[in-house]
Amino acid sequence: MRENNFAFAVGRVRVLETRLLDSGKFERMLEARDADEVLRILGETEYAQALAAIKNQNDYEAVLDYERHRVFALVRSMLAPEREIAELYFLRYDLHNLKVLLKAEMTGVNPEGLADEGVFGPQRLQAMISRTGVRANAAGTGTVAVGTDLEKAPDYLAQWIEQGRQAMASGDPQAVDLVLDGAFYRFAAETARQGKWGILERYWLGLIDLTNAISTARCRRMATGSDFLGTALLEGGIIPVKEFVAFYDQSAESFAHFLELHGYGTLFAGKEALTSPAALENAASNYLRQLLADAGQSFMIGPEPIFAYLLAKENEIRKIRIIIVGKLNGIPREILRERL
Amino acid sequence: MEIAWGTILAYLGMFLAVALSGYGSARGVGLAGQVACGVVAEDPTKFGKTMLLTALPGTQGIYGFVIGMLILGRIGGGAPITLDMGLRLLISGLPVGLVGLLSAIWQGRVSAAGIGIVAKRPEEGTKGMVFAGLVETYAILAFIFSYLMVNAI
Repeated sequence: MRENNFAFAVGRVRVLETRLLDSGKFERMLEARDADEVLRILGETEYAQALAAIKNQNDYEAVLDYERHRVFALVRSMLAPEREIAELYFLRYDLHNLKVLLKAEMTGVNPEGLADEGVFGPQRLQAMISRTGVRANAAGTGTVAVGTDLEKAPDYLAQWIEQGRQAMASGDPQAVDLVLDGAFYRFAAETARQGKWGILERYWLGLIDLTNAISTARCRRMATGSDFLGTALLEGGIIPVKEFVAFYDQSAESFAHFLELHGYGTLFAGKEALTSPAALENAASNYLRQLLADAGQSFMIGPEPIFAYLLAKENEIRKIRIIIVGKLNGIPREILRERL
Repeated sequence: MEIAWGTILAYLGMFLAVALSGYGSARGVGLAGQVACGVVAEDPTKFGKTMLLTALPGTQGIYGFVIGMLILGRIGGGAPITLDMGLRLLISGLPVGLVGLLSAIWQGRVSAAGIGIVAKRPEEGTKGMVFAGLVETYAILAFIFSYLMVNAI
């Protein structure tokens, strides 16, 4: 009966999907003379609402942010009965913030590039992280120190913060990233498994595998040695970590074959993925988006079509940003087309 | 007072025919209806086509209702009916009840998917209706058989 909780949202997303920009629109934006013309083309689409809301229309970042916030808020309101699953999508922003905040504390700089789309928001996260939180004093003339807000954090988040802190002790900012990524992906896969959303579980397990595959490709490129690779991989995926390590010094073809055996054969449809880690990364994110998009195509009722829509929307915004930035910097359209 | 087992069994048959198919229809229409609401919330012009698809899983409930009425007619208001006849009436209600229950739920899912087609490609919406209609076949077959069984008594 749980699919009843998703039925309304799935119906709505079916219509919203038709409003995603098609390749014709992207082609026109690529052909546009300048960034202004790109924004004009956007005005003919569902971005018109964002363009109308933002006074300074040249502030394209504000327009794109507005659109992302609008879509996220809409999806959140539709998924209110299934908050736990819906939050899995937005937790990635909290994870990003958590990394930024912890690393900022580590290096003693001001945190920059915090995202406000997360479930908790940067301020609450900061309050949870700080060993002593602060609040306004009764007279309103200053602040007083209070105990940490960590007890207000849900168990999983408290665990992440704890694990992140332990990783900080190593002094390596990348260790923080690694520990938190792994903790989040495993948590998401487990939550999806408990809800019996098989494709979502597959998505996060695939994310672990493919993150490991990309790390392996990078380490091979940089010849870091297999010992280092062993420390840079995430546990908990479908493919055991030691198999990646075993393939460290094999040929690129046998590494590709190894991933094919685990069902990731489509990654290597373009040959560049064999040699370039960046191409593999691109292929991996396409693979995962496609995994959810295929689930959405089968007209199933569950969180998958909604996640697929959100991923497609974010990808669309990313592509528009590439085009606008490219037009502002006078980058030729052929190069832009390649980047897309 | 002696318990009229025949009459009780006949009532049970009536109950199963009406309640099972009605429950299935309610679930099927409920699922398709929610998807349709989502579509109409974004695009009100799709009301007509989505409404037809939503109504399709509702027919099983009607078939069950008709068989229930026929059984009630057989029970009549008069003397208690025999055990043998009561049992036959009970069995007659089962095809439309059971097949109605399952086919309505599955038809609801096909309809929900069909509504997805209407949302994405309104011009192909009729095809979704054909698929949902295929599920209907089995509800109709069960209905006809229940009908023949009641009439054969």
